[in-house]
Amino acid sequence: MTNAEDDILVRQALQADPESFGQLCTRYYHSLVAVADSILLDHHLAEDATQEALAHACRQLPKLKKPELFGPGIAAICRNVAKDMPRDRMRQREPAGDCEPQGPDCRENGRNEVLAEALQQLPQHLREVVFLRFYNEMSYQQMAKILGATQEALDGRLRRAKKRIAAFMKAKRYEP
Amino acid sequence: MKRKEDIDRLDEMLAKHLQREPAPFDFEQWARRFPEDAKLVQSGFARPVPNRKTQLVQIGRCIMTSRYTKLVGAAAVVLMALSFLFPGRNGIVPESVAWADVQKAVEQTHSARVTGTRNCFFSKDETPTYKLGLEKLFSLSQGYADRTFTEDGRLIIESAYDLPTGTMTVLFPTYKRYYRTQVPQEFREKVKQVTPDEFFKWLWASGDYRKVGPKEVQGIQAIGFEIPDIVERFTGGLGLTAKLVDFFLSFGQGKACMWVNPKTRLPIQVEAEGEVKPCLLTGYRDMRLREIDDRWEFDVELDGAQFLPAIPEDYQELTLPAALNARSAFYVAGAGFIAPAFLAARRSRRRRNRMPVAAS
Repeated sequence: MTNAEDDILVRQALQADPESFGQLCTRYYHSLVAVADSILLDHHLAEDATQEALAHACRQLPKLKKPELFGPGIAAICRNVAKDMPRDRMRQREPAGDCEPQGPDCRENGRNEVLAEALQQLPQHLREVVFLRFYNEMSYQQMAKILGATQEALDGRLRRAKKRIAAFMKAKRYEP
Repeated sequence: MKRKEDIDRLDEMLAKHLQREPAPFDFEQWARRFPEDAKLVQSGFARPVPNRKTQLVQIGRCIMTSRYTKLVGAAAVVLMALSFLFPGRNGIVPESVAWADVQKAVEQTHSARVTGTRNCFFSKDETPTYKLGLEKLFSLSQGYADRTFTEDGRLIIESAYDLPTGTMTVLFPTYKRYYRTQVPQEFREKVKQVTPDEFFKWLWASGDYRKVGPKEVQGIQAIGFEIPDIVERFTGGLGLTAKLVDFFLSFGQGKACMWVNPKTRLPIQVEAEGEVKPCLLTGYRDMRLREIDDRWEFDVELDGAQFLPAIPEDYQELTLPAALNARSAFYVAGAGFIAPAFLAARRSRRRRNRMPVAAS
């Protein structure tokens, strides 16, 4: 998945080649779902947002000045679509059931809740990196391509994110 | 997070928590959901791109991400910084302070305590013959008080006016005398002008003043407002006749300067200096008076009893001759310049005996 390949696929898509556009979408689909999920915190809504973002990107394709930067461009579109997702479409998350804090299962549930809370506390740019990294075991190279950042920068963001998560969990008395 | 095990465990937790198995992208399904967009791709974007209704958030995003918006924002920040560093009319550069700013700031205060010194010169020496301390209290709702002290802190005269009752009191602790009277109703409105803001209006609000400085006063680069004809303004403000004034305290040429803190717009020092012609209160000698009010405290809590002081039992009442009425007596009390005269009189029994103020 190189920039040159994106460039070729974009040019082909502009010349009435739906298959090339399909390939572009397939390449970035999972990454975009992860980006949207990091904002919406709902997998199904994230998929909806990603498909809508692809439609937006399709309309913007002829105006794309640098086809090799299709990845970061569509990620930005996806972020905006996710942020604009109407609140009424946000699905109600089921609250965790009450349980005795001493039980091992409950302890595990509590840890997951705290972890989810820790992720919510993260700034968007850090949460996005965590989601991309752990959502689909994405490599730094792939992440760099979709986010338009260097691998070193992403590594730094990931470290900071983990540090904050660990600190949050410790504050809630849950060892990572 | 220092241990490698912790990092590994956190990685494992995150992977477990976030791991998804997303469905692969299905172009056909997407094309069914967005048929117009799919047709665009199939036609090689030959058809015009559908013009969707622009949403408010999109306009907002366009503005917020626009290069021009960023430039305008940066320019606004620079302008704010420059206006702070080089402020204009309403800035903090001393020269930019206008008298109206001072008046506005003073009007917003409800009380003040002023302390300073009054130096009396009976010769041309630079060393004052008498060095006196002073304290003035102003309260918009309660009244006015003026106390004069000797160098060693002994009270020699205290004059006070109680605004609610219209009672004027003058105490002479040295002689154990007092004078108390009710100010006539028609004169009370004039008396109200002794409050700081009204007092300043008389003296400076006509616009006939000279701006001086900036000059370092009490460690502050202060701006000064100087007026040359202090006596005319003061007596004019109270509506006193020259004859009455000259009888008690006959001022010659005098000037006053108020130094203002440019930041607070409030006075920090008032300097007044002038000639006093031979009159009753100087013991009929020439005198030069220099007053410096160098400590101004605004919005202080003042005890209302200070404006209607209790008269000690052993004090005798003073009566004024019929030629003098409460109006002139108030002038004496309000001006607060009589203390040096009493000191002068004390030094000369002969002159004191000529005073028309007699014990009852």
